Amino acid sequence: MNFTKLRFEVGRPGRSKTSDPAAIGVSADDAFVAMSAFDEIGIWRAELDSGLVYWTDSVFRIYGLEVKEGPVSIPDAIAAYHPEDRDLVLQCVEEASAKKTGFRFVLRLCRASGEIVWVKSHGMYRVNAEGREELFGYIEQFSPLARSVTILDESVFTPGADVTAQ
Amino acid sequence: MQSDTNITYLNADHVEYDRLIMSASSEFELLNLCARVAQFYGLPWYSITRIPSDDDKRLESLGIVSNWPEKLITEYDRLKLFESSPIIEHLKTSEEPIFFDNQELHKDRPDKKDDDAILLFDKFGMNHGVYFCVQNTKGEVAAVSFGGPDNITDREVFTKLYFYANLVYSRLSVLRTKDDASFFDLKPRELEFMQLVSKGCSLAEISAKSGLSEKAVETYLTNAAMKLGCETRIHAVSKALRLNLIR
Repeated sequence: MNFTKLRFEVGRPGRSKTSDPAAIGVSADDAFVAMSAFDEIGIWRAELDSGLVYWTDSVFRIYGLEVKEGPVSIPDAIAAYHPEDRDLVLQCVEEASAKKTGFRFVLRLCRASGEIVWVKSHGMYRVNAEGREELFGYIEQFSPLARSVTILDESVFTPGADVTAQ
Repeated sequence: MQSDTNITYLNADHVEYDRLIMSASSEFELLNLCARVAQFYGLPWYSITRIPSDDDKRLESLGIVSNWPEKLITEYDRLKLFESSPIIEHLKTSEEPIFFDNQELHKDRPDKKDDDAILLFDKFGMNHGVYFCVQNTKGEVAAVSFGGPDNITDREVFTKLYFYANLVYSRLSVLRTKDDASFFDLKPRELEFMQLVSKGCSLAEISAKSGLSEKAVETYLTNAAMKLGCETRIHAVSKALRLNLIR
């Protein structure tokens, strides 16, 4: 997947030219690598007309599901959420697809071990380059710790590498 | 008080929110309205939560629905502020509304975490607010709160917030129970194909499995979406899952 054309200023009107990482010498691809260096950030896409949903590998790992190629099982994804949060996830998708808008949620996943994991997801509506309507966005797990510092053992960034490993 | 009708106790904004809340068609829409009401009265934070029991030890266990910053909730639980919370104690024992002023509320906490609690809520601009106990027709009780930087000194605002709190919870209860699968009258084939789409099957795969043409499969799926009142398949699949029409 190529993130080069990902517009960071989308949905944030009034931002300056330097809101684009490229303006300060960092490509969108590199910015994504930096953002996902410590915590998994998954990218997802849902086709409005076909009803099919696609994930990068990181989304599977965040959900605690086995990585697979092709469209994903939405019921499996929903079942990964806390029972009280499942309807809200579906309603976000319903609202965004019906009104052609976006959403943001912070909800809970339940691990098989019983552990509760918090995730944040943003979704946006767009018409893609082929003229098809879709929702796309990202999901990330975040730590409840207010302050945290983690240092990588070694550099994981290889310029030009396929960061999504899709 | 402004009024262009004979209903002198309601002003225009009140009537608008009143109608919008009662006609909210989804929980998502309702919660957005709740945030708008809160914002309108200068209390940008709202929450809806069930009444805590003695078994609850963390805020997140209450199934709280709110627009509170996630960092506030996680930090609150990390600091273990729940168990000695004066608000929680009040909600367990009284149905009367409780106004709070952080500085006063968290003085002399049994867990000695006065400063932690005050700093946390001040940091997020939740210095003042009010909790209302509300009830639905099933007798289920919940707490609806509105919070923000300023104290609620206007009795009229208090009354309106109380009204909205009840209205929001009432509508929330209706929305959580009104979706009846039989209402949509979906055929078995329509449900079967929706189920397959939700599992990630393409039209071609469903066609191969069912022995029907892709066109026929598409017709079933389009009809299913129409019956559910949805324009797109992803909307229909999400709605069918939420209503437990498919699993």
